[in-house]
Amino acid sequence: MNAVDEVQPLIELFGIRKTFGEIVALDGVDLSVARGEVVCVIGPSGCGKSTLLRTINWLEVPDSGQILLEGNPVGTVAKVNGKITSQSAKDLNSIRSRMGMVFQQFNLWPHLSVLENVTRAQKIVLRIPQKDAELTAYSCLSQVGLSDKTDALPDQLSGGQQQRVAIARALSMNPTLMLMDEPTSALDPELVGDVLGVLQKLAEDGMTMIIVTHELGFAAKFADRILFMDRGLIVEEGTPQQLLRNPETDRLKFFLKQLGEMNLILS
Amino acid sequence: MDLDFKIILDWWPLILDGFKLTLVIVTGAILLGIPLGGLLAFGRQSRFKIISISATAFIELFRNTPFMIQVFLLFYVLPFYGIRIPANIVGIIGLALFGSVYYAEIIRAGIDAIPRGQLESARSIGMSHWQSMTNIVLPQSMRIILPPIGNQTLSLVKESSILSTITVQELTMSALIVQGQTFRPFEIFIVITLLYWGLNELIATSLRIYERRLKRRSTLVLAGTSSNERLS
Repeated sequence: MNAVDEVQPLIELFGIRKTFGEIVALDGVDLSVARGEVVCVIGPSGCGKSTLLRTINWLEVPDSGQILLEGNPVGTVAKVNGKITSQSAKDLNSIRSRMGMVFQQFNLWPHLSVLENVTRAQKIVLRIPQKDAELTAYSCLSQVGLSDKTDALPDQLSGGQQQRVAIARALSMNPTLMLMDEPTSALDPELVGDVLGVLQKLAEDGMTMIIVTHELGFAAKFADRILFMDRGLIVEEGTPQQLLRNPETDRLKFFLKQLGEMNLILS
Repeated sequence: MDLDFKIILDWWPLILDGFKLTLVIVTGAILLGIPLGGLLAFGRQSRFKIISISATAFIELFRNTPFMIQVFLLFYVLPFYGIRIPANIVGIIGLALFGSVYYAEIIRAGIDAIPRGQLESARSIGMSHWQSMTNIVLPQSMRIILPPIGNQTLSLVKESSILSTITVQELTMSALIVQGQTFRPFEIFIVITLLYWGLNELIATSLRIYERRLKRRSTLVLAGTSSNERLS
């Protein structure tokens, strides 16, 4: 990592707050992720980790706070006079296209073939010609090990394959950041490995990723940093070693203990 | 009672003109009504209160009043306010307005049936709302929308006979004229019944064929959005 990257983080969140009625999903979250960093977010369900990810992409509009991607505002723009206004739809779409989002339920487009799933956004958002879009698609699909499935419809694929197509679809936009919302949670256990393998490769290639996950094993191995969230706040963060071996807060200790007991039952 | 179908031959040009006008009016009403229905469906979901309330009010008004009264208002009442529209045009507009509110409800239901994640994945990759709708959501809604759109269209063909009450010389009006001239209601009404039936049967059959073609491509599609694991 060079000095410039250390000065300017890839993505920064300042005081992000989001409520759903009475429920406080995010209670003023600050976060800064450097280029090339792999950050895993863990925490009990309802802790706000998915909301955090969706907010970065502006799928959820926060009540207050500011998000910067490579120094550029996401969703809201602070004017010179200090007023905050919403970003134009065009600017928001363009900044969204630089963040690849992967969903728990894959959300592939079932009426389009695998190839069309991976080329459609390139063509209509980035205005890349069909031929070039297809070349990119082939390369992204081979990156996830599915170059032989281009003509299949999503529903002819297994869940693991669908998720890998979804990752290829995100990669095809040449994103600077990948946001993954429990990418393996909807998969049968024997299919999780394929997807984790793809994530591992991405991590090794230096892709910046924020991954909400329950896969502590993966987090321990590949995360540069783990964030533990609870009740809308980042309670504890650090390297996997610090966090998983020597948790400081009672809440994290309790969370890990629960997971540990679950693993014991499962094993 | 003896039926004398020779009168049909004598009056055939008039009947044919009526049939053609019915075709023109219904086609016009569909071509205007479906896009207007789409606009209303989107309008109803608009984040601008004034648009969503207007669209909803429009839909409720036209859905809950008799078509004949709507046509009377357009044809007999508007002229008092200086708006004089030829009967045939009133026929097309009236039928389009009447149909559009049903089309709107059908289209809205079709859009609502598509899982939210489809729109989210499209928006999150940078598509505009419009691009997401036209590329991702609406193509999937088509399968859901098409059958009820077909039903509504059949019903528009039938409702068009009401336009005879405002002097539009469509198929029903032609029949009334023939009946008045020949004093033989049975033959002519049997014939126009067959014509209406034939027309609707034709529409229904072509839609059924189109639906089947659409389905063949996507039998797997909708069934699978919720089931995650299906090994190929």
